[in-house]
Amino acid sequence: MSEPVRSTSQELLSGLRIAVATIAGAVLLTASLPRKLGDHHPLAPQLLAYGLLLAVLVAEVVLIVRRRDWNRARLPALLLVLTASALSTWTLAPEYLLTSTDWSFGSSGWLGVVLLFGRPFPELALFLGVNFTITAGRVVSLPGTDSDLLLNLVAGGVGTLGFPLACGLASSVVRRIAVAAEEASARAAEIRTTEAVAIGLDDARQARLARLDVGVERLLRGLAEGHLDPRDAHVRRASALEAARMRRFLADSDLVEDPLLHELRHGADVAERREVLVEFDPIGRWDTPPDDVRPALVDGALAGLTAARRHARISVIGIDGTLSVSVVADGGSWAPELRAHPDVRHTVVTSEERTWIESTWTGSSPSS
Amino acid sequence: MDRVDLDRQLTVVVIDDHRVARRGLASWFGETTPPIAVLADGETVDVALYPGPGADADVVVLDLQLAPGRPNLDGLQRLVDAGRKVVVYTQFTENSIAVRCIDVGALAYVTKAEAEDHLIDAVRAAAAGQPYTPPTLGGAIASDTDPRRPVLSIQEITALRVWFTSRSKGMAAEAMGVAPSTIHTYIDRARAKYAAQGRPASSKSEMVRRALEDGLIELSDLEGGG
Repeated sequence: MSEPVRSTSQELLSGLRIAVATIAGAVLLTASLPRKLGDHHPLAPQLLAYGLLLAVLVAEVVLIVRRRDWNRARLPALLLVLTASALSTWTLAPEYLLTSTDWSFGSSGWLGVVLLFGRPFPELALFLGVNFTITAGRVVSLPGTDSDLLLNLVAGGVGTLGFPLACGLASSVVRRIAVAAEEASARAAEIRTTEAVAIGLDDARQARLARLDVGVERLLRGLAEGHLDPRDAHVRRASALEAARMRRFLADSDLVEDPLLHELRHGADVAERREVLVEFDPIGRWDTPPDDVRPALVDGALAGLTAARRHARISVIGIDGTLSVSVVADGGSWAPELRAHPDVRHTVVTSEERTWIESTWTGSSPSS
Repeated sequence: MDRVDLDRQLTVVVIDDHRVARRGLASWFGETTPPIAVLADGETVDVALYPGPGADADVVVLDLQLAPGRPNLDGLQRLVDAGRKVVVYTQFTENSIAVRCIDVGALAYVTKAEAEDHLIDAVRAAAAGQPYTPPTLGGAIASDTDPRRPVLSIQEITALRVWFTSRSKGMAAEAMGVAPSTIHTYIDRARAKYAAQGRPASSKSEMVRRALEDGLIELSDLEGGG
C-alpha cells in the first residue's frame, strides 16, 4: 500500500516544480527586453544577463525531464542569477530604473524560486532579499534620489519580493503536507503489515498446536491431580517422551536444510540430558517428508529413546522412496502409543533388554 | 585351501599403521575362544605379501586408511589379487567406501564402532572363504544408488535395512515375520549378488561359486549382474 502513496506524493511535488518553472518561464519570456532593445545603451550586458537567466531556466527544464535535482550546482546557479541581475541593473540607464524597461527587477527573483524549490523557506527569503538589495543599492546610490523613486522601489518590491515569496511559501507548505501524508500512510501500512504478520503467526501456531496431541495435557493433568506418581518409572518415561515431543514440536518450524534430522537431534537432546549416548547413522537419500508426516515419522524414534538406559542408535535410511527412521535402545519392555499417520508404519520389537522401533514412510512411491 | 581345518588354529596378519592398535587387536584375538593367532603385523600390506609369517596367515585384517602411503584401496587390491582373504577394518562409515571395498573383493567390511560385535565373526567367516555382512555394510548395500548395482529383491533390501537399523537378526526376523535363518539367507543372497558383480577377484569367484552351490543365487543373477 505504501508504494502508490509515495509515488502520489512524488508526483505532487514534481507537478509543483513544473508549475514554478512555468511561472518563471512565463515571466522571463514576457520580459520587456526583446521589445525595448532600443532603450538599452549599452545593449550587450543586458543580452548577456538575459541569456544567463534563460540558460538557468533551460537547465531547470532539462533537470525536470531527467527527474534530477540541482544539488551541488545550486549555489553557483544562484550566484549566476545574482550576477545577471546585478549586471542588468547596474548597466541600465538611471532613468529607466524601476520602469517597465527594467526587465530584470521583476523576473530574476523567480529564477531564485526555481533554484530553491524544495529548500528551506528562509533560504529563498535571503536570496530575494539580496536580489532586492541589488536594485535598492543602485537606486539609493544615485545622486539626487527623490521620494517618488523610493516609493516606486517599495511598490515594485511588493511584486518582485512578495509574489515569489508567496509562491515559495505555498510550495513549502504543500511539500510539508505531502511528506506528512506520506509518513502517515507509511505508518498505517506498517501497522497493517504488523497486524497481518501477527495474524499469520497466530494461524501457523494454531495449525501446529492442532498437530500436538493431548498427551501433554493428559500427563500434566494426571500429575497435578495426583493420579500419576512421578516416582513411577513408567510415568517418568512418559514425561521424557512428552518432553521430546515438545522439543520436536518447537523445532519443526526452524528453517534448516534437513528438518527431519534437525527434529531428531532435538529429540535426542532430551535423552542426552539423561546421559544416554545417542549415535546417528543417516544413510541413503530422501525427500523432506511433509509437515504432517514428520511428527508421526519421528515419534517412534523419540519413544524408543526414552527406553534407553545408557546407549541408543538412531538410523535414518532412505532407499527408493522408502524412508525409515528407527532407534535401537538398550532398555526394554516399552511400547507406548505412537502417533499415527496413514502413510507411516510403525514396527515395535521390544524385549527385556532391548527395544527397536522402526517407522517407515513410503513417500510418493509405492510401498516396498 | 577352500575349507579350513576346524581343528587347526585360525591365523591372521594385522595391518594397521598404529602399533598400539596392532597390539590391542592381537590381545583381542588371543582372548577369544578358540583363540586366533596373529602371525605377523605391520604398517603396510607388504607384511602380508612378501615371504614371511604374514604370507601364511589365513586372513588379512586390514585397517583401511585413505591417506597416501597408508594401507588404502590399492593395497586392498594387491592383497585380493594375491588371493588373500581380506577383512577390512576401518573408521570410515561412508557407504561408497564400503561398497567399493566389497567390489574390489574384501570378504567383509567392519567399522571400528561395530568391531566388538562383528570383527571376530567376520574373521572366522573369511577364513572359511565366506562373506560376512555387518550392519553398516548391510545398510551400504541396501542404499547403494550406483546404476551398476545388482538387482536386489524387495525382501533382500528390507532384510538389509532392518539388519542395519535393528542390529539384531532376531529383531529383524521378528519385524519381517520370518525366521532368523531366513534373514541370514536374504542378506547372504544380496551379498552374493554383489560378489558376482564387478571385476573378477579370486576371493569373489570363490564366493560366487559357493553361492551357486548353496543355491543362494542362480546363473540368471550372474547374467543380470554383468
